[in-house]
Amino acid sequence: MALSGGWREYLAVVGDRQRLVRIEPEGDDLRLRIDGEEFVVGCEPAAGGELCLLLNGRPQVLHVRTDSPGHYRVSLAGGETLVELRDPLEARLASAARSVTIRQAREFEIHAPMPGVVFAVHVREGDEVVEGAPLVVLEAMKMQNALASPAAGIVRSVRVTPGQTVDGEALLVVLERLAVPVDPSAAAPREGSER
Amino acid sequence: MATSLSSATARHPAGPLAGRRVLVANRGEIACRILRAVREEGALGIAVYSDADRGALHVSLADEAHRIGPAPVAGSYLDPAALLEACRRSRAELLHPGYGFFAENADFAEAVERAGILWVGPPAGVIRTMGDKLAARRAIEGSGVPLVPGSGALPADPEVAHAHALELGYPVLVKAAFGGGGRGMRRCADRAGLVAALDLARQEAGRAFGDATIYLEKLIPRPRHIEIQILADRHGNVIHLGERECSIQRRHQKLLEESPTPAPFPGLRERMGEAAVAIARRVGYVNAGTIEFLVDPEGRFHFLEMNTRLQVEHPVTERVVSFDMVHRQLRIAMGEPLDRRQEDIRWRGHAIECRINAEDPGHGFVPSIGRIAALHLPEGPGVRNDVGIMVGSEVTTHYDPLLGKLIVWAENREEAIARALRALREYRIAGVQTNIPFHRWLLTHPRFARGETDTGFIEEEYRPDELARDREEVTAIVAAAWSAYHAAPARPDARPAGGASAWLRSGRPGAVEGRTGWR
Repeated sequence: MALSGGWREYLAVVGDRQRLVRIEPEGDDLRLRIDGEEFVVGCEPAAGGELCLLLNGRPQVLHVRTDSPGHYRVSLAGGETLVELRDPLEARLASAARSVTIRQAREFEIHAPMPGVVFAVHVREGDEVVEGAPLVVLEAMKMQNALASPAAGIVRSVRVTPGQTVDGEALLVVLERLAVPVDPSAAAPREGSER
Repeated sequence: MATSLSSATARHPAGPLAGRRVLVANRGEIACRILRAVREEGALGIAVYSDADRGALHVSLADEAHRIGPAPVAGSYLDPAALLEACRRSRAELLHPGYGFFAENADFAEAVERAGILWVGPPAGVIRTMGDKLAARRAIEGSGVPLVPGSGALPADPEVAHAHALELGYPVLVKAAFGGGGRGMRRCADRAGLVAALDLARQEAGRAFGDATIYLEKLIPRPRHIEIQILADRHGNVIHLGERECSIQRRHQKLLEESPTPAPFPGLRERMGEAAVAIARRVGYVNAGTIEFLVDPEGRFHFLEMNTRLQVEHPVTERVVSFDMVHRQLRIAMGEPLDRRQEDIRWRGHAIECRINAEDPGHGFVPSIGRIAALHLPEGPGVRNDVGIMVGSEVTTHYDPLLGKLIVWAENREEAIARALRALREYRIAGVQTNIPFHRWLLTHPRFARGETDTGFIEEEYRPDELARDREEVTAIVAAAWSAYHAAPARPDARPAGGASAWLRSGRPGAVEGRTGWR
């Protein structure tokens, strides 16, 4: 055995697509099987933190960073690809458990979909919102994007103020889902009379 | 701060700029590009920087650098007092504004001149006239240069606007007199649309440009956006350097420019060039400027507006006429006469510029931010890179997303496209998402190859799911899996003797010299 040991399997998640990856050493290289496709992969670190992969004889220079365990950010061809590698067994268990937790989750978080500047905040802590109510307007480049509430709820906290610059993924608002959905027709006049 | 240790600076032996102090009131790639020309002229380059740009590339290319304020532009690159103070502290003799920021601000140009500093650009009065689209149209009327048919300033009564629109023929555009970059502009197909658009356009213009004046222009269907570069000195010499085709735009932001235009209209360069020179003479233009035209499908051109500054895409022209425009800008500002006459200008080959932006072409071109983790620029024959970043640079939302420009040159358009594709494949950048996948899509598009470009190209043709990221996704998974496999349990340090690496098998051991092992 030339490398660390035997075969291993990962569930690779890119966007909403999942692929099963099987990986095992072969001499100095690795043999990978991704959804039935086979690759023999040689690899050498290059200058500046890049990697030179030789992928079935095809050279590819790319850059890999890992921000948190299992999460890889791969830069190649001018694009960035986020790859999450999960243990296939744990992934199966988690997906079974998640369907339960999501149904019971009471708090949920609104994140910025892109970096930008907070243009307006339409809610305060304690406000009741209906599904689709605008929470925050985010300005990125020349576009203003209204972020709407995904469900009826109560605003638990507001983490940003107008004028603030935020990263993509930044936490903006925390909501608590209402057990009984707010009746949109009942909530509308209240909102109108306040502003 | 701002200590000058540059006694060893190589001086241009006898040029008019030798030893002069030139402040570049800008950042990013254009500040780098101008500072390079300043140094080549034997002058001293003075950079300014915000707190976010302390370690920026443009600072490292200057002989002196002065802090002008915090990261937000309102307190730094768009703070006239801070810039004038930097001029005073650095004893600047010339100021080059670059593009954007204050480049087309007549009040700032005046303030610079009042401080006894030479403004590298046209006189403030010309900036003021051309910055007001209605004033620019009035200045050109009667010169024989065709204008996009339009109205004067619209009064409040929507019926007057409707009467103008009927005269021009629907569809029309409502435009802000002081607008730019496509803002304050609305397309109206009929009376109802026009009436609805008028108030909105006024409000938008008032908010964005501080002046609510609007007017109508006839909508030219499927236009090409073609512009003419001119240069004028203070001695009455005006020349044009030919055209740039800039029809590949998204929301009025150019993404790729080329010269010559692939438009199949014989004599277009000569006719548009003469018109541009006539306009420049008529308004008393000095320094580098660009006259934008819309060219309709029959090859008729119409004056659109004039940009009274150096353009982002100026290298395309530099490549085909083989000379440096920023050097000329600096010498013109010093009062030198142009060193070329119109008959000296020769065009050769084809140049293409791809703007490399930090934005995601797969998701509506949203801006991408991050720290540049690796950067390897393409090289080889016919390739020029104008960039403003280096490894370690932070890309933030404070500034525009232009990271740099890739400019290629070849004997003809077909070869230039092939060279651009080759160079884009070499481009390695890590840390932010870029629009490079978009450029690769564009340059392989059959309609682009045929040169059938108009300003509707991206809207009509671009489908993000055609970016074909599938192959790259699999490669990314391989790379991640490789890293994960080697990162997890420790492996013996030594490689097995004679281990048959794929690299060795492929017979390229030289390519992997200095192997350091994977940590």
